[in-house]
Amino acid sequence: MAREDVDLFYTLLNDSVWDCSQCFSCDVCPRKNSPGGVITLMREVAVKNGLASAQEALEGYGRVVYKIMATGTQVSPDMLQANAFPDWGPHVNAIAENLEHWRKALPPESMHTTDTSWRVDEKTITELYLIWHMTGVMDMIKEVDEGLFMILQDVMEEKLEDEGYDISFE
Amino acid sequence: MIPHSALFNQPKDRVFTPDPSQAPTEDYHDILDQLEKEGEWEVHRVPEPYIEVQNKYGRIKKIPVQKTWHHKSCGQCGHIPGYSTSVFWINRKLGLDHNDPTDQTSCTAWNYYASATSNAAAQAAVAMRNFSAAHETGYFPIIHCATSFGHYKETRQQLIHSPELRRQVREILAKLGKKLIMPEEVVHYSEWIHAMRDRIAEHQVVPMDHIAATIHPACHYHKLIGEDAVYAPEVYGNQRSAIITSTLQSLGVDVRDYSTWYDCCGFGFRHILVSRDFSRSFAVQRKIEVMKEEADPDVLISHDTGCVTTLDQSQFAAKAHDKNVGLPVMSDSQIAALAMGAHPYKVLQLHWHSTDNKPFLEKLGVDHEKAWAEFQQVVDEIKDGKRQNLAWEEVDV
Repeated sequence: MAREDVDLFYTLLNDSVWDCSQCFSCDVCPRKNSPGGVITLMREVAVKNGLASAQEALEGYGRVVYKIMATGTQVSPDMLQANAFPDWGPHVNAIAENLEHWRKALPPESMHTTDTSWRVDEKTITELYLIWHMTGVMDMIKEVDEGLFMILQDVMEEKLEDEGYDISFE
Repeated sequence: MIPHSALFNQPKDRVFTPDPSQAPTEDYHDILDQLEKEGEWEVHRVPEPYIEVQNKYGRIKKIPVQKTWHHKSCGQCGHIPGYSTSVFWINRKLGLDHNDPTDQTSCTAWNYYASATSNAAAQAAVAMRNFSAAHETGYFPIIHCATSFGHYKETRQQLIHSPELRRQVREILAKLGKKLIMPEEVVHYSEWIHAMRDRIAEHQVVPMDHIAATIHPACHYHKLIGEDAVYAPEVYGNQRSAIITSTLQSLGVDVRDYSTWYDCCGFGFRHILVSRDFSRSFAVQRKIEVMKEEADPDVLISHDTGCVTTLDQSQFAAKAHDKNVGLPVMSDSQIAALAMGAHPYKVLQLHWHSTDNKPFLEKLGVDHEKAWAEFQQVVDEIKDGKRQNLAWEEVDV
């Protein structure tokens, strides 16, 4: 299709691929084709090439990308704010108002955190940053969100320098 | 000619007898061992004692009883923390040795499926770093999130078939001072609950034989590398994954079927965060309303972060539109812990859920007003500086 109908392929790449919910219910093909898998790859292509659709699709998603790349956990308790989840119900406001104390009222000590889902060791964070550096993931971030890239770069380079690594993400 | 019985037997009444020798896919166990012999990686063996269960094509999967390293879920720990707490509580109740690590990161799959801002090497390195960290402790990884579980199975598949990826990841890990360690099995916590269901039922103190439930099997549990999901002949004749249903049946719960059981919950990774109208519509119209109309359950049980979140949190706004909602949602770990006598707020942490679960608790004979007062007292004491936190010893029963 990509060769025969470039316009259609570009439309899919630049728009429709972001509609997929990545549930892989489509993975029932007896020939083992995987539409969801193809869409995943097309998204990677859209991000790597900095397509406008990728930038739009990821608008508002920057905080989540920041969380996983900088803190080691994808989402965090302090993301539960009434203005972010007004449609989830009044309990979100109660959680936000009582967050610190409700987190301490959790028996697992590892979860007495508000800005990460659990306490992540400093050594673990350092290793995560080294993985991002060695695999070029930051280059992809730069393509779609240069502002986020610069924030992450500052955080990571400072942390790695503190740990004795002389590393640049540029 | 079409057999007469085929016209009348519903698919769920037919029993499929899996034969591993006829499986259409390779057996990853053999390949893991072969690659270990070739020096490509070290296989982290499932510690004894373990329980043998069957996966989709009848191959044996070993589930460790204890010495488990709990690979936590960011969504569970962050937004529905009673989910993971219940898993730990059951381990404590059964007196099983386990490890709640802080040398663990998220799997990053949520981010990858949502944004594609990652690549194969990064994802595999994150997975293998976590597995290596587990191996260093002597505990075996058990995965709390279905997306992490599915993603790690895909990563295993990629590593099996790509010598170049193995080389890349081995080099990355070497720079971190770690070895490439592949677990003998990638185990989801709900498989552990399935394997332990009889021991869980032995400790049941809250009867549930008057309760009806529907279940939602997580897509990333049984659709990603679906051959490595657990099946059993007594659950829909080996034709659907067995977990959750098997556990509920062991607790005496009436598990009711509904027509859209295969549909996803609507979570959608990026949708739940930045395009929630999609998630909400799907969850309510394709799942909750169908369950209510066809099965009229007291509770909906699932076994994944995104599913419990979406199916529960989507109901509040839908209620304003007069949708047929109001079905409490929780995980298999939470209902199992509840059956074993766990506190609904100190352990299950049901105040982090959206849909009203009080009628369900009342039907079980649980005094939720008293339980909330007990929890609130703990919170007040923390606020007043009379105590630092709620300790495990206070919630063990």
